[in-house]
Amino acid sequence: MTNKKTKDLITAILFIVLGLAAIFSLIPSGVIVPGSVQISALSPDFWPYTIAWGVVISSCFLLLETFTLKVPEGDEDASEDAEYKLATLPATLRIVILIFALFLFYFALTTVGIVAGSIVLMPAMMLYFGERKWKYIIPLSILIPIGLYLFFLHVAGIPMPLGIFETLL
Amino acid sequence: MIENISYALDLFLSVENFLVIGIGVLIGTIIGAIPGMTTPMGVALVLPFTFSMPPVTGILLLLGVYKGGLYGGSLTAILIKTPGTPAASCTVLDGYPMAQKGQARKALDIALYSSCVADLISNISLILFAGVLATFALRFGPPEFFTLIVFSLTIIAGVAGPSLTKGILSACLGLMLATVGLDLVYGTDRFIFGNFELMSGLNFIPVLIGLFALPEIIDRSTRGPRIGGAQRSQLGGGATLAEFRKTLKSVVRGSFIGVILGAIPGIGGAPAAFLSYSEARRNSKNKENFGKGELEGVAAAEAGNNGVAGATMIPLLALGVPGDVITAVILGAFMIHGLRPGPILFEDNLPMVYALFMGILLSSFYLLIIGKIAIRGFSKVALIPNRILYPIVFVLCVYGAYAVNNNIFDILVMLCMGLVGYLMLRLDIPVAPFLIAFVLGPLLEDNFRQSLLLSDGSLSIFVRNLICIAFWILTALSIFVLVRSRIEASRTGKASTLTTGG
Repeated sequence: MTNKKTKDLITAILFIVLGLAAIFSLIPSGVIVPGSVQISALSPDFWPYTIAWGVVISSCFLLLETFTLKVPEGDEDASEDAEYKLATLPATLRIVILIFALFLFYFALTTVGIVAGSIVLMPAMMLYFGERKWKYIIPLSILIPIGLYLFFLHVAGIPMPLGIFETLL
Repeated sequence: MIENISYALDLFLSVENFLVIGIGVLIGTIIGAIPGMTTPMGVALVLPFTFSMPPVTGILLLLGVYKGGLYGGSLTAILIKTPGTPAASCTVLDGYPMAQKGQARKALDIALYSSCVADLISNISLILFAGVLATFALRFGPPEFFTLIVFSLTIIAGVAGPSLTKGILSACLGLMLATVGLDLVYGTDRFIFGNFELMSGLNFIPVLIGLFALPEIIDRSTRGPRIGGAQRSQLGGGATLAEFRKTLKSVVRGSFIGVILGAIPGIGGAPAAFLSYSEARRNSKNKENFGKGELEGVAAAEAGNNGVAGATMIPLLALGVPGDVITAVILGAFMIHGLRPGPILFEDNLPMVYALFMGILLSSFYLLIIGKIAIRGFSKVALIPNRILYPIVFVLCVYGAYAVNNNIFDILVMLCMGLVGYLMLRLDIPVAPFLIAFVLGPLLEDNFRQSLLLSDGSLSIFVRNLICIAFWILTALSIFVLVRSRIEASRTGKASTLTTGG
């Protein structure tokens, strides 16, 4: 099975599961239907159910497509995928670390604020992406978050949260 | 009429407007020239900066970015064989061979002139046709709008990626996400699960930034440094007027191809550029020179690419239906300012529409001036390494997402949508149908339910007149053509020309 066919198969199965989960669990528990609904198509859950069934039916078509139709030339992108070979860490692990760091950054924002959080995150990200020249890393990491803070504060009138540093200003 | 134009002049003639269009084109050109930065990403990043601006100024800034982005992609396509935008990949075919021959400056000049002419033709088409279409659309009621949106979503789902089915799945996800919040008719909870932040639904901007900027950043973290094209060669001499005149026929033809394809929701710049290029080659005396450094090839590709810019605004302004991701962002900008594009906008805010037209026309001239400067200076921007660029883009995303509602929760939404977008990227699911369906979802559902309220629940209202029937026929025809093209591609083993490949 080709790379694209595998992706299509994963997509189809994933969406069938999602669609069925929506029909049997998410919609019944997440959508409140008032008792006064007279026309069923006007019910708050009609539209979500229609979309969820659309997902299931389309996924079945995709499954059928995977087994019956060939992948056209040019849709396979072997060279792009080949770029994922890295000397340091496997690609998947790098992605997991990055995503974890981004969510950690989000939770840190509530305490340290956006500006200080960005001043810490930017050099970390630059180093992670492979930049090693401190003459770029340090000034950019300080000037950009502060510059954006001042822009939003004075031009757009939007104060960015400063967290524990709020009292310092 | 005169009164409206006078009001429009009042709205338009300000230093801010003249400045923002230029700044927009400048930002767009830079973003377009950076490989890995897309025009939708650029427009999304600029959007939060427009919140504090008057509606006309904010929208003109976004339009400037859009137009600059379309042109900027050609700079690196010609100089380093790295198209800044998907549509500029056609410009590579002849632009880069010209650069290798030491005629880069000539190719860049022709690309610029063709872009400006095409942009102007597209803008004039917008001015001529948007009003007419809007007048016609005044006859539309909820069932007509419902069928129109169904048709638009079908086309977008079909041509945005290699598979119609994946496009539909993507659109379904967007529609489902749009249902989060309070129900439109009964005011009851939908997918809120006790979180009051979700009561007003998910905001469009964090969803947009998450879907378009974050997946690219996450994806690039796994790759090595960008492999540049060839070394930058000598720029050589510029193009003469006589040389441009020789390409004019292809430029005008390409511009109209761009206008026609641009006005159809979902098609976009890349197919227009390739169609314009193939038509120029078919009609050229120097057929054999195409692909080896033919000036007409560069001109045709750029004309097709830029011809869509004004035309994509026709369905947006006249019908309120965005044709691509960028116009979806612009629709978002209208909504942020409490405006709704469509026939009613022409009735209630005609001076504003005229002011936008004036700004759009001016952007073509800015493109010429900034393009000239860009040829000399901005090509180096493309060489900014990703390892510096992406952390800066991420910080911009965070500030932009927060600025929407002064709410940190929106940053969480952006991060979650980034994950969804990354998963979609890895599974080759196009994100454009997701986003456009997310924007149009409430409108689609609202029109559906209003129609049923009008008809006491009878579905026959959706075929009540010729307009509805015509949209159903067009929808069925589109599905038929797209499915047939996919089956044909499977038989012949060659990718369909109808799709943009994501």
